[in-house]
Amino acid sequence: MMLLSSFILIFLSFSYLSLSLPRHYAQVTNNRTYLVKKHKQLLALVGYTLLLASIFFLIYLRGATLGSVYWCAIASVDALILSMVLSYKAKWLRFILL
Amino acid sequence: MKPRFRQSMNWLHTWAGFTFGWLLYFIFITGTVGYFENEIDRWMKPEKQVVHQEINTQQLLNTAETQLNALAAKSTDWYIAFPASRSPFVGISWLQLADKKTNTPRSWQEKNLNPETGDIINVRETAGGETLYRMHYNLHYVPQVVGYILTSLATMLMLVALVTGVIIHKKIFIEFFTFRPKKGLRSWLDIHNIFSVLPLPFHLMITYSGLILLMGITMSTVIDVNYGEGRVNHQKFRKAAHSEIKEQQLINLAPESLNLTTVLADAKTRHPSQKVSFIGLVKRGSAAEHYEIWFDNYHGIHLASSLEYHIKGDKVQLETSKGKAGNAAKLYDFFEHLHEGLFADIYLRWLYFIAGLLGAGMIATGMLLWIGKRNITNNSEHSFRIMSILERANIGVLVGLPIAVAAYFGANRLLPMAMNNRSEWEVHSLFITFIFCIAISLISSAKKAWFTLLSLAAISYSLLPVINLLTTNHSPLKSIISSDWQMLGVDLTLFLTGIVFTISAFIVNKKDMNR
Repeated sequence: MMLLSSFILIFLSFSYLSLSLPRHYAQVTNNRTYLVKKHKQLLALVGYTLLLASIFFLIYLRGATLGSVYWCAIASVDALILSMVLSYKAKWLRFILL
Repeated sequence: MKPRFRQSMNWLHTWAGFTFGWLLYFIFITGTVGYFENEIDRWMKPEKQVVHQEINTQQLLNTAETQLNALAAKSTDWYIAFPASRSPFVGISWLQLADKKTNTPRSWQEKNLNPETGDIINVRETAGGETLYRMHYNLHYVPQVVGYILTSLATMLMLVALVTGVIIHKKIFIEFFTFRPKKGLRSWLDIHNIFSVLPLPFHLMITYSGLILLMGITMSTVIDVNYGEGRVNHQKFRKAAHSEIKEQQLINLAPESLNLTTVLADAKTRHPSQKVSFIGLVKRGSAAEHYEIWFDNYHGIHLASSLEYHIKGDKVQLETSKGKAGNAAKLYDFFEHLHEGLFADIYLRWLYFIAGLLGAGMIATGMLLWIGKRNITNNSEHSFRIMSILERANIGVLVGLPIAVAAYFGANRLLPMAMNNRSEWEVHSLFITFIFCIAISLISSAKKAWFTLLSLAAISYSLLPVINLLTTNHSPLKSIISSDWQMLGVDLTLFLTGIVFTISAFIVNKKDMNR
């Protein structure tokens, strides 16, 4: 359960980070919205904050060494899933812009 | 200066990756499968019986001791295995000493016991999961040292390819999640980047630690200079380098009452939260005779230290390891444990497995890119022919290897039980199939080779659970009822792999139709 929540946490953080990039922002929003600089920085900030939180969360759960191993492993799979979602089902990510 | 630097790094990346590409692919596939060594081993030894209930420890110790006395009275080292998380069985193992008269080599023997009756279970002769995972660094057919050196060389070039890959990737952050489908080589490059960049921590760790693990062989001249040449001198080095800090304490146990039962009871009171995996009687009959207790618990990434019970005069001395003495040995252990991932629970094990597959995918896409790029720029008749052969051989290797692994599984079920050198023939089946697949690929066109081999892979993987059912009566349903999760897991994974190959074959076929 704890692992599942860190899995989701890292996925969310990666999603925000990807949305701070113009290419992926356009993919998700269908080019209708223009990504202004302020908005972009906000998305990146949220993304990095969640990313940092997820690292601390796993280290808190499993200790420094094992926690980092878990983080790297989960992050790899999360990033893979996200890249596939962005390519084929980008609209699924709209919910996080609310 | 800068563009030239990137260009030369590009060259280095291309050739470092290409030179040992196929060998690296072999290493990554067999090594990745090795993360499920115990599970595969269980699948390949279907006669073993899973322990369901709490076992009667005393009864097990008694029967195990009787069996060991009958089978291995002369052996110096005895071990009794208790059910552990990744090995829910009971068994005995012993060191069989070399005997020149009967021409038996020194080797470890292992027998499984029936948890209810204590009788020895006759397990089929099989190479098992261990041989499959060892292939990724000893390459099986070549002498051990040659295997170590070849894999180390490939690993070194892999590390070069990883580092140069990071340097030449211009938009590593901007294109972190980017995949642009249906754009020809561009899409392949995107996929190659996704397979490489996302699990980069894993790739770097596994490659670097792989190099470290074999440094005793590859850097042996360093040992030669300081300790002298030869096996005996190298062992001296190993002993010195890996010396441990040991904590010794005299305990309240009479030497005459020291036996398997009292040792086990003492260990359990000292570490009530840890599960015992092995109890050993080591160096029997010598002055250094002692008992060992091993635990099935990990502290972080390290195995919980084992306990040793020695007789010292009229007292019993308990010895515990407090870790390696030297910092170099500590670092070596750190990388070894990270590489092997023995500490990983089932979730992390799967993540390790996926990361390993991504690594294999990275190498595979790298090879496809190498060939794809040259196919475009090639003009002359001669080089066209060479590229065409390389292209088809590459398909044979990439898809043929998974089929060969399936053949290894299949051989375990289908070869006659009484066959001579049965376990060796399982390995032969793997390599014969591998060569066969490359041959098929070479005699057909590239498009056809993709479809033929992917279909072959789909059929062979989907059939394996069926073959298992027909030859051993281990159906998935039976596995659920008898809570035989390892058997069920391997069966399901094989079937799922079959489905993935089926889908790939359909996609390839559809693409050809559209063209």
